[in-house]
Amino acid sequence: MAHTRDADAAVAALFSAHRLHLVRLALLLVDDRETAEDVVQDAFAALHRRWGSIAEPAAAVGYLRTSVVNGSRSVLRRRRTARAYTWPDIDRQPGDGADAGVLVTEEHREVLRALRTLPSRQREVIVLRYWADLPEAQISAMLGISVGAVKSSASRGRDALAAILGGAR
Amino acid sequence: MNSVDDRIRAALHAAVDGLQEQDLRPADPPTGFADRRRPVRWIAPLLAAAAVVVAAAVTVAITSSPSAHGPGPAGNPSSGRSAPSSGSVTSTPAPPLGGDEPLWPFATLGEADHWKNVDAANGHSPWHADAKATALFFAQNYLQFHDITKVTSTDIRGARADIGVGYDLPSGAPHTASVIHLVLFGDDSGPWEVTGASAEGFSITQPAYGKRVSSPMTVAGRITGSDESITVAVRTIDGSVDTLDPLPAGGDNAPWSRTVAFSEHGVLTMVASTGGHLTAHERFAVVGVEADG
Repeated sequence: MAHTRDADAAVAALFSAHRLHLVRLALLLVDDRETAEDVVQDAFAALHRRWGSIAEPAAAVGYLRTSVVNGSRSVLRRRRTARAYTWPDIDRQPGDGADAGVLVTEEHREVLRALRTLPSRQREVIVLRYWADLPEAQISAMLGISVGAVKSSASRGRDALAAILGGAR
Repeated sequence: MNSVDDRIRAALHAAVDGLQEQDLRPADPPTGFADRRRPVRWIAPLLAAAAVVVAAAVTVAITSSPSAHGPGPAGNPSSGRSAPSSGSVTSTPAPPLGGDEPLWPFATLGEADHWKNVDAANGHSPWHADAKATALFFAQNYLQFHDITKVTSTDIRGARADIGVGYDLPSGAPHTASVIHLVLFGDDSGPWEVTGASAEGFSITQPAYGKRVSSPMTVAGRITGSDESITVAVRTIDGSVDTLDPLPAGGDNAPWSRTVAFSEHGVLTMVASTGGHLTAHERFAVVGVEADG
């Protein structure tokens, strides 16, 4: 069917162009690579199924990003309800590998550990603002919350991190 | 220079920017013919034919029961499943469940869509639209935990729901044995699908939710309690089940572990339950995994 062929080709192109970036985003939200890859794969599967309702290809990246954030939140929700969930070792983050281009220092780990203590919404906003460099309006649209809520989440998240990091000094 | 902002930004980039394509597991983009969650469904037509017979009988029982709050209908483990009346199981790609596994009552989005577009329009199995009824029927009819008799809590937020199920203690106070997690399958007008369950002080930590597994598999977790008796079962949506004998356990957040062998593949429902003081299933947890064929 033409629709299926169109969707296959378009989603394949997006997969090639954006999979790595989306896995990085998911990794910042769920902390382990396998889960991050699963979340991203699910996002692409959802995009493929709904390709016919995507208004324009340019909107697909936003759809994917939102799907990844929502999928990651679902993972975190399950972990919270699993009382004895063991968080992945922060020292084994992918950027810490011997062949990694960026060195993860103890200070970075300190920040990442503090990030894990934030509520999901604050963590998402912090990641989207500080790592993805998205404007508040775009974060607002992605998360389905007001710009004011984005600002307050960012402010509270940053303050909480500052307090934790300051206390760790 | 704002040190906090810079530290946050630097840490986030350092954490993931070293990740490269070659670090990722090989994966293909989804296509119209791909179904990652259910790689092998060769048995589906046979099961679907059988399910039609079961569903025809069970639909009568289900539709005649209270829609939400009363005890679920009597029936076999797979009695709540809605099979397409055409007798075929579709191969619709896995639905957008946000990373959750579709455990019960629908195996595929095609089945859920069939209920929404055909069965619901004909007044069949209206309980699929009721998160509380779906949660209770999951425990009573799919898991066969007949000592679970009531809904104890309700938390519905848009397309997601957490429904507590349990029973009344001798004192009359309700006891929550587990909180069933559900998601609307497909879209906001879709039926409720069970994706997992969690219990206070009793968990499955291995295998991780949604992981690919193979037999034999170690199932492990944590438990808080004394004189507990843990039973582990592996279920498929079609009713196949492998069960281990009860394991004595107890302690304060104490680890427990079992090894289970199974022959099924596709999406599996891992169920761990504990009890023996008042009832057989005082607490239970459920995770979904994917077994290689």
